[in-house]
Amino acid sequence: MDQTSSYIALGVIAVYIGLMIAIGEYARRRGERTAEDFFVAGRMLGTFATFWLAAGTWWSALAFLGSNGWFYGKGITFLANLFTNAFFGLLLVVLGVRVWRLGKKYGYVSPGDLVEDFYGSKLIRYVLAAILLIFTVPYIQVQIMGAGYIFEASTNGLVPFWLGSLVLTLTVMIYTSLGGKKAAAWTNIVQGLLLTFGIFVGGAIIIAVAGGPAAIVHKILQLHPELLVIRSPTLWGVWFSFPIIALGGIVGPQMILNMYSAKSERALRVTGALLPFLALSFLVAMYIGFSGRILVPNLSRPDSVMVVLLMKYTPIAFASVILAGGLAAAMSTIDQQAHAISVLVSRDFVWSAYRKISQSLQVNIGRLAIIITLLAAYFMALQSPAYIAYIGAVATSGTAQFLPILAGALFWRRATKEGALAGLLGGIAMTVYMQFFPPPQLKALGIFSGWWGLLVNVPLFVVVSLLTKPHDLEKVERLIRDANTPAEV
Amino acid sequence: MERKPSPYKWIIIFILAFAYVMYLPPIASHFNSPGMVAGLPLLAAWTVLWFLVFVVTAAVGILKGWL
Repeated sequence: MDQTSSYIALGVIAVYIGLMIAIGEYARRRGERTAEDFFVAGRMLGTFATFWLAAGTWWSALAFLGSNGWFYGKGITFLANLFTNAFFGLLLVVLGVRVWRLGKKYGYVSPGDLVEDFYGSKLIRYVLAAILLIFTVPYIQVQIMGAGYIFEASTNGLVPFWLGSLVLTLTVMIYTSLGGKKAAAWTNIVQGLLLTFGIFVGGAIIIAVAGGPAAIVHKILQLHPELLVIRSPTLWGVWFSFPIIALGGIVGPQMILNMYSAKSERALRVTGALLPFLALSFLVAMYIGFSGRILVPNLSRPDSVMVVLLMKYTPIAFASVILAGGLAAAMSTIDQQAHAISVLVSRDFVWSAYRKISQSLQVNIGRLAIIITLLAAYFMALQSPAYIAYIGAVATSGTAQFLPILAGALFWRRATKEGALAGLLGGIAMTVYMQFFPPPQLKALGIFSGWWGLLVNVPLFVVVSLLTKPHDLEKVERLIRDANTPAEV
Repeated sequence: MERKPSPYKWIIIFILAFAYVMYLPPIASHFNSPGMVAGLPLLAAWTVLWFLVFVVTAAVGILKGWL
């Protein structure tokens, strides 16, 4: 690729970045300086925006780069993620509409608002916010890494990894801190459409170049038959481990905010019903990964396979537009996670401790949190050589520990703060232990650390709750009744 | 007011559970061998089939208000 091509790619990406910042500024001008507007878009997002907001959170660089990289390097095992997406849609409806009902009725803005109200404990709000914050930052790091790869490969090294990541980080920082959740939602619509176009059209071209689906599989059967079987320490480990990504993703702070932001239950139901179908793009990713093994067999970074194939086999201007879809995938996740952290900091820590602070100060604290979070994640991204998909799984293993406590607050009148705290802390301790110091015989099972955490979390939560009493049974019963009573059908 | 549970709810849940069981390792591993169906690797074809059964059933259940 010559230098002119690199500049064309750079130009296309610059136009895209400019558009995102313009949307952020537009959202700022249209928005009100209230916490509800900045944090949950005034609870006014319709079905279309809710769908693309959820898709943007869920469909990250993991989908655009990580899936291709996994198929390229490790083969067909990644298809287990199809069911992960199916679970995600189902959970979005089962949990999401109930969270929405409570948020709407009681004015909740953060995950901690709901948890403190139900369990009657400020301590649990702080602990939960700290845990969600710690485990969300690595996920932002993953997305920044993805953006850096795309930038570097699409400009043929003209923009190195560190600079590309930095530009993307700053772009998200600007538009998210300007427009809050509204900016995230509106940019996500553009990004989601671009991402979908990128995966399907870019994928179709690559598959055609490699000879079509049947020829690709036939060739892989001859060259790398091991890519067509499930490979892992154990079969069970792989099949059961992937759904932890859905469990962690659905209770990530950004998804809870998405639930609050919807205008109606209907918006969440339609989103939950249709979102899993986007996972069919993993089939495209499978053929892209296999095409890569045939056309460019010795990549040092498997995650960059789609970028490399596009740059090599399609016209530069076209490839750049498709790759902007990849940047969209990363940015649409980064913006919401950074925004979610701003809510955790501003609402769960600062506002919770000093309830007299003004709405505009809450918003400004949130903006500062976005800046600090993104810079921290950027520096972490410069350090990590791991598979994108792998880091994503680690991050969601941690956030998944929130699931039992949230489910308790929506369905179980005997859930208590003591049980919730015991389960949460026990689950996190086990997750960290199994992630960083696993005994060899358990590691050999190949089960993600989040499942081990839940194995400790759930029994602790149940047993300790049964041994203690809810702080205010009348209130607890009222909240559960409100969560389970449809506002509309 | 609490909504009356739909009799279809349990039929939907049964189909979802069945689709997931069909994808479990002992069953899926029978397709863990070379070969293809309509351009798809055998294992992928099997997985996609039950994935589609799952998501279409879930979508109908959700949109009809049965879940």
